[in-house]
Amino acid sequence: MSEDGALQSLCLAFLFIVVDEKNAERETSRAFHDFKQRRAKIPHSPGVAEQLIVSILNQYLSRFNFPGSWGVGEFLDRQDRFSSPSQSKNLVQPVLFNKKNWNFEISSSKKYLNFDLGPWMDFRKNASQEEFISVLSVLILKIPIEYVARGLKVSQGTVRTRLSLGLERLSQTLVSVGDASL
Amino acid sequence: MNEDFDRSLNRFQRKLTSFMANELTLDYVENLLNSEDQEVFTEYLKNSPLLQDRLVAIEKGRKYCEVLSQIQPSKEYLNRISQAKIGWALVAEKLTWSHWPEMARWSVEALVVALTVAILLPLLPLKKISRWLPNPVQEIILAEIQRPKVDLGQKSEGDSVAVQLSQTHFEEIEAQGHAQKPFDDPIEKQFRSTKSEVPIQREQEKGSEPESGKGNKFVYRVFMQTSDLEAVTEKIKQQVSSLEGKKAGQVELGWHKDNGSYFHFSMPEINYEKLLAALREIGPVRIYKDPHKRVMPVGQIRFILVLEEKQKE
Repeated sequence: MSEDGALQSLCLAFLFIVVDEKNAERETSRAFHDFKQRRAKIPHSPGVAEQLIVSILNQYLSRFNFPGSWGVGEFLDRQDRFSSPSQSKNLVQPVLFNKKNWNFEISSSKKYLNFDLGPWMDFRKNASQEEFISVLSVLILKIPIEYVARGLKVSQGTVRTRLSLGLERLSQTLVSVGDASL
Repeated sequence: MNEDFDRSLNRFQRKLTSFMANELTLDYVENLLNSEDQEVFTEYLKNSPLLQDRLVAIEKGRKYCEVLSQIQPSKEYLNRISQAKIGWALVAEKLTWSHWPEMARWSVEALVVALTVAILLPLLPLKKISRWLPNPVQEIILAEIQRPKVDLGQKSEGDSVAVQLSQTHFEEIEAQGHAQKPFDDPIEKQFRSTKSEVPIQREQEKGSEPESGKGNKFVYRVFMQTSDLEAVTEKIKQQVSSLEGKKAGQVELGWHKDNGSYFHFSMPEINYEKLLAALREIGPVRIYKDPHKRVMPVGQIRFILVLEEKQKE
């Protein structure tokens, strides 16, 4: 993975972690700076960048004692302020993005223009850190499970189990808020 | 023979537990199971409604994540992030209020409060505000003067304070030159009341002669009372004039007040005894010799004589 690819992954990851465009930009800048520094110290090999990304994201989540801190402090603000027009009870206001910053170009289906972040917000609130980072890394950032496992220093089977549990929890959120996003 | 073999195989066919089935669900969704495992899983799935629900849930979650993963940041956004100055951001984060030590935050808050009070307090109209507030104490004690003992051989400290204050008061009266009651001063009243029963006693007799060569640094304060103010005032004016007395202040000799007359004059020191004798003929005289910053020429002395009309009982 090139540096541009890593930056793109970090952008997307922090968008879904912070769910606040401005703060996501700030956190992505720092994470990318950290990524470049650590990358320079590690000999180049396949999957190193992906492992680093997973490791950085995991460290970031650990710093905020995920998921306990999501409900307090600055994240409480963000949850209240940035929410999607979903049917979720926890989310009242729409999430606002700057159209210049993001591409929602899915020509095959117009549903993406109206995608609902409500279930994701609920998932982020209810999931454990392990489940959250597994779903985020594997299914959204499209990092192979092998590299995710190395980044988290666990076995691939563990990652698959966490991923399975995470998906189940996410689907429960989808059931609770309806299928408007799909 | 073959049928028997198949039966024996079926007897050893692997059966999935619910735990194993759950673990293989994701692999089944992703088509990662081999044919045998997939067959066994499918067989188990038919008889397990819970697993069917789980399978549906996982597929739904995957679809949703697939939707979210299509979002991509724009190139401009990526450029902006890659060119961001991290150093300043880190410094700014360290300097944010929430990262300050608690003691520093308390100190700054206390300083801000103190400064605010110091700035705003002088601007408040405290006098106006104090009028609105209930104030049971209407009198303000400026100074407490103790009544001195009868023996005036040594002047008490309270006397000197009273004398200095009263002297300042009279000088102000002279400077202003308009109607003002010289006897309204409570300190002067106190001063006079403390000396009312004191017999006349000269300071000069105690050896406090004026310093020769350096001039006279004293003023003689004379207090008298009379029942006929007009006549006595004229008489004193004549006496002072005859003894070469000249007015020292701005008001004329015998400056008339509602209940008294005021004389401020200077005269040769040799006529002191004559003036005293003349005043004694008029009535009781109280004389005090007080130090004063104004220095009189050698051989000249200064008098401030207050003649008050006696109250009819």
